Order: sequence, then C-alpha cells, then structure tokens
Amino acid sequence: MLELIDVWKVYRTGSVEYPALRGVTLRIEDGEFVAVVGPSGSGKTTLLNLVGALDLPTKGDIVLNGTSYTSLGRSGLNELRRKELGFVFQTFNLLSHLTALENVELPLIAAGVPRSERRRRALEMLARLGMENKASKKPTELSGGEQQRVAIARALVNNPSVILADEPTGNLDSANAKNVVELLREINKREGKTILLVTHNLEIAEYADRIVRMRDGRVESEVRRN
Amino acid sequence: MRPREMLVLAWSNITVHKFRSLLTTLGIVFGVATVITVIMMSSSVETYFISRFTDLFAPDTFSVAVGEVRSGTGASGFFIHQTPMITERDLAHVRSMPGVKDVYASGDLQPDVTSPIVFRGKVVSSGLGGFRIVAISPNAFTENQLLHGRSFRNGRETVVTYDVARRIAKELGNEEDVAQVLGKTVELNFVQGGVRRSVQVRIVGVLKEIPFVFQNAAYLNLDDYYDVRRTVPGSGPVRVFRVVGVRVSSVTEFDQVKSAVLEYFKTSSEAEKLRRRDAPDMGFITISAGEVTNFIREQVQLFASFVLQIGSFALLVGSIGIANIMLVNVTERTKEIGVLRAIGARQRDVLNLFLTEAGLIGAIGASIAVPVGILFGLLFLRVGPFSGVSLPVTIRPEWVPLAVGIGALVGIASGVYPAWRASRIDPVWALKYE
Ligand SMILES: Nc1ncnc2c1ncn2[C@@H]1O[C@H](COP(=O)(O)OP(=O)(O)OP(=O)(O)O)[C@@H](O)[C@H]1O
Ligand SMILES: [Mg+2]
Repeated sequence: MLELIDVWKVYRTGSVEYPALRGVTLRIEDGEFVAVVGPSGSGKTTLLNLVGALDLPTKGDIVLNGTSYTSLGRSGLNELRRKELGFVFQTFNLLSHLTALENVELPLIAAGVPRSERRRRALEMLARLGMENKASKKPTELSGGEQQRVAIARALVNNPSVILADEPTGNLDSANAKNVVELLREINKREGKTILLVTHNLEIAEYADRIVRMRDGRVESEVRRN
Repeated sequence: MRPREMLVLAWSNITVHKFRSLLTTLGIVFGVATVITVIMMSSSVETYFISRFTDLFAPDTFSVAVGEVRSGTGASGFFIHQTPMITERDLAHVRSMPGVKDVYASGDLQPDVTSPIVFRGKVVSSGLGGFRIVAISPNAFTENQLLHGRSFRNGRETVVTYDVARRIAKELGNEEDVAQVLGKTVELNFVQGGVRRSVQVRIVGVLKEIPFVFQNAAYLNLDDYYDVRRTVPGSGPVRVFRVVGVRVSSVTEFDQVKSAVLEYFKTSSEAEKLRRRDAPDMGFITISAGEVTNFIREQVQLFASFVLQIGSFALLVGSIGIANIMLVNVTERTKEIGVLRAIGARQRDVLNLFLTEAGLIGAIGASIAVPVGILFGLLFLRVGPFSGVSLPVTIRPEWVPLAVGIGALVGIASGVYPAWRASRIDPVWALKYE
C-alpha cells in the first residue's frame, strides 16, 4: 500500500516561497491504477517526484508498504528507487548512445546484476512488450511509440511494485497513446503492479481505477470508477 | 555499479563524440609523447657517451690539473678553464708514489688561427669547435684510445684525432678509409714561446672518434715542443704542465691512490706554491672515467629535466582540456544524469561514471602517445644531430602500462571537479532540464 499523509512541498526561489503541494493525503492500494489529472501547475509532477523518492516532502510523509520515506536516508531512498519504483517519462528519456537492450539493462546495471542474467532479463522484458526484434536499435531508429515501449520495459525490468508515469502519452499520437495506456493497464492487471499515471488526457484517464483531480497543490476530487 | 559496467558505459559515451574526445586527448598525447621521446633520447645518448668515454678514459687512469673550482659542479671540471702549474718535480714525485704505475703530462700549444694544420698545401682543419695542438707524453695514448697506428716516438711524428684524419682521407679520395693517412706528412703551424713555428710531421696514429669533444686536434711529443715555464718560489724557472695523467698499478687501489695524489698536490707540491701565488682562486681538480661518466649523466639529466618540464606543462594543459570537456559533458548530459538517478543510480555511481570517462580519455591519450613518442624518439636518433652515429635504441615494454597509468591518473584528476558537480545535480531539476 502507498500512502501520502498530509504531503507539502514548498519550493523556495531566493526569498520567494511557493507551495506546490499543500497537504495531499492519498491512499493507494496495491495493484491499483490511479490517474492524476489537473491543470498545468497544479502539482502533478511534484507529487510524482515525491512518490518516486527523487525528493522529500517539506512536511508530511509518504509510506510505501510500511516504509516511511522520511525515515530513510539517502541510500535507503536510492534502494527504494532501484527496487520498488519504475519511472516512465513523457519524453521517454532513453539514453541516445545506448541500444534499446542496453537501455533496458540500465536499472539492472545500477543494481549490480551480473551481465548474463541482466541480458536475459532485459531481452525477456523487451519480448514481453513485443520489442525483441528492436533490441539492437538505437532510440533514434525507433518511433515514439516504440521508444515508450522500451522505456516501459526499462521501468519494469527491476520488477518494481509501483510504476510512476508522468504524461507517458503526451508525446504520442492518439493511436500510439492508446497502445501505451492499454499496455500499462495490461501490466497492471496481469502483474498486479500499482500504477500512478499523470495525464492531461481524460480519455487516457478513463483506463484507471480511480481518477484523482488536483488543483493548486491539493486534491480537488477523486472519482472511483467501476 | 560494477567497474566493468562503468567502463562500458564510459566508453560508449566517449564514442558518441569521437572527434571531440580525440581533440581532448591531444594535450595528454603531447605530454606523454614528449616524456617518452625524452626518455628514449636521453637514455640512448647517455649510454652511448658513457660507453664511448669510459672506453677512452681507462678505469685505471685519472688526471689532475689546476683549474677554476666552482661549487656544486662536481666533475664538470672536465670542461672548465685550466692553467699549467704542474712541474717536473711534481711529476717525478707522483711517479714515485706507492700504487702509481705510470705518469704522463700534457700542455697546450697555441695553434695558428688561420692554418693550424695543412695537408698538401690545403688547410684541413675546419674552424668549427676550434683546433688544438697538444703537447703530450708519448705514453699518454693506450691501445684503447687508438683507432689506427701507434703513439709518436719523437718530434717528427704526430697523432691526430679521427675527424682530422677523416678530412685528410677526404683529400686522399676516400673519406671513409682513415687508415690511409698513416705515414702521410702534415704541416702544423703554431706559436711556441712567442715564435711562430711550422713543422712537418708524419702521422703515425689516429685516435678513436669522440663526438662533439676535442674533435680537431693534433698531438706532438711533449719534450720536443713544450716549453711553458714559471718561476717557482725559491728556485729558477721550470717547465709547467697543464695536466698530469696518473695510471694506477691496481684498479682496486684507484680511490686510495687518487686521494693520496690529490693530497700531495694540495699540500706539498710545487704546483700548490704556484697556485697560491699566481692563481689563488683556482684549485686542484681531478678527472677520471667515473667523473666523466657522472658529468655526462649530469648534463643529460639536466637537459632531460628541462624537456620533462615542458612535458609536464603539456600534461597540465591536457588536464585542463579534459576538465573543460568534462564540464561541458556534465551540462549536456544533465537530463541523462536525472534519468540515471531515477532508475536507482547513486550519487557515487554518477561520480564514478564521469571519473571513469575522464580517466579513460586520459588513458586513450596516453596509449596514442606511446607510439607517437617512440616514433619521435627514433626520428631524433636517426635524423637528428646523432644521425651519424648509431646510438643504442632503448624501448621498454613497461612504458605502455606506465604511460597509460599516468594518462588515466591525469584524466581522473581532471575529472574530479566535473564528476563531483555531476553527482551533486538534483535529479528533479535534471529531469526537467532540456
Ligand atoms: N524547482 C521549482 N522551483 C520553484 N517552483 C517550482 C519548481 N518546480 C515546480 N515549481 C512550481 O510548482 C508548481 C507545480 O509544478 P508541477 O511541475 O508539479 O506542475 P504540473 O502539475 O506537473 O504541471 P504540468 O501539467 O504543466 O506538467 C508550478 O507552479 C511550478 O511553477
Ligand atoms: Mg508536469
């Protein structure tokens, strides 16, 4: 279970303080697919970065499966990212000088997995996403949809419990966007991964179990579907 | 991350900007190549000179002279100004000392400036480096020092240096065949006791080649030509020689004999009386194979350390180049750093990744530098000022790991600051960076 307890994030630029999150409280069950929507600047990316342990709340806490983020040190947060969390970005963010396979291997390299096992697991993951025949391609040789598939493979390869996706379909045409979100839905269903997905697109949000609407750093409303 | 993976990742980053990376290595290439060239040059030149000189300065021989004593110059007395002050009585005394086998003396005659040596009406001594006519005891030359022939036995014979013999052989039609000068008569012109003299003498011996030192010289029998005199306090005017050469009976006693002879000169010799009166600023200097060897070594190392300073400066410039490119790299790859952190790479991993990259650039530069340095070294030895003589070439396999190690270290040192900057980048900020 993922819990956000009265999470605040205050950005400070010089002497100006800006509260991007103003007391967000959320409970997300294991295996739940949650879409976060809201106007630009409402704090969606900030929220995702905090859950992604890239940053700590100014106030409040985040607890993942009983582990409180604020009680973890830097190395604990690193380990959390390595083992429990997978990131998918709007701009894919594949390393351009590495092949698709090598990109998928990266999290395993960071985790110190031996080479042969790494290769096997990365290939397996690409195959599961139907990308095995693109393994040796560089990102520039792939379409946007293909790149995002590789990025999803990279997010999944460490077998994390939570996938964090910040507008993963934002740079894709509608057909590809649909493909990607269906893929995420399938992963969520089949493997029971918790998914937290930020989107502007309500059609995409429709795939989620729950839609959280944000405004001005607060949760404005929650709609539970089905 | 494991070191192996670091290397693979760093390598793939470097190959993204092949040309840029290559340019970055230039400073390292230049620095390391300079060092290798210098090591090659100096070790070859040093071995060569030492082998040649120890051949000429037999291990059982040393010389004593009165000359300018400069502090800290050690054996450099070899080339400094000397003045004739050693008397016949000094020679006789040294000859009688225990452990001394043989003694010889020498002094300089003042050669005619325009035509010191003439062969068949033609001046055969080129002015380069000056020309010397030396009066010396016939027993000064041993077989080791002679390339052809023997020493002179009287005033009608002469021994010449290799270069003089070569010039005469050239007049005879074949410069390479220096042995043909034996038996030929040459004319030597010099001033003796204020009087111009011109003598016809027969060449009976040719000395071995000593590159760059005393190349143009002819040697005449001491007793027939040398007549420089000084008045010794308490007695009349006596002949004074510039150098006394001493051969010891046994090389094992060399140092003892040498210090005993030096002690004699410093305390009770006539030369000391003259020195105190006429040249109080000068002192007794000794010259032997060991001192010559040390002198050569000193000179070569002086030169080498000078060039090595240039090399280290190049390394410094190279290191600044790497640091600069690495800073550019860090900025360019800000987003990538954010991604790496998001997928679980630690600050330490990012630090190591950039350090590895910088070290790899340094190591690549160094491995390019090794063949380049060797090439320049060979070029110097083959077409440089030493092209005439076949210098021994020193190339050692351990240069490769050593150079690569130094290159890697310089690279890593240059990468410390950029890598530290990279590791401190806030991942949230980095992920937004475009
Ligand atoms: N590093 C920062 N320093 C100062 N203010 C920041 C910083 N990062 C974000 N903000 C501010 O915090 C607010 C929330 O930003 P956030 O990126 O979370 O919005 P968002 O909901 O993801 O918007 P979008 O839909 O445009 O991506 C914005 O007003 C933004 O200007
Ligand atoms: Mg955003």
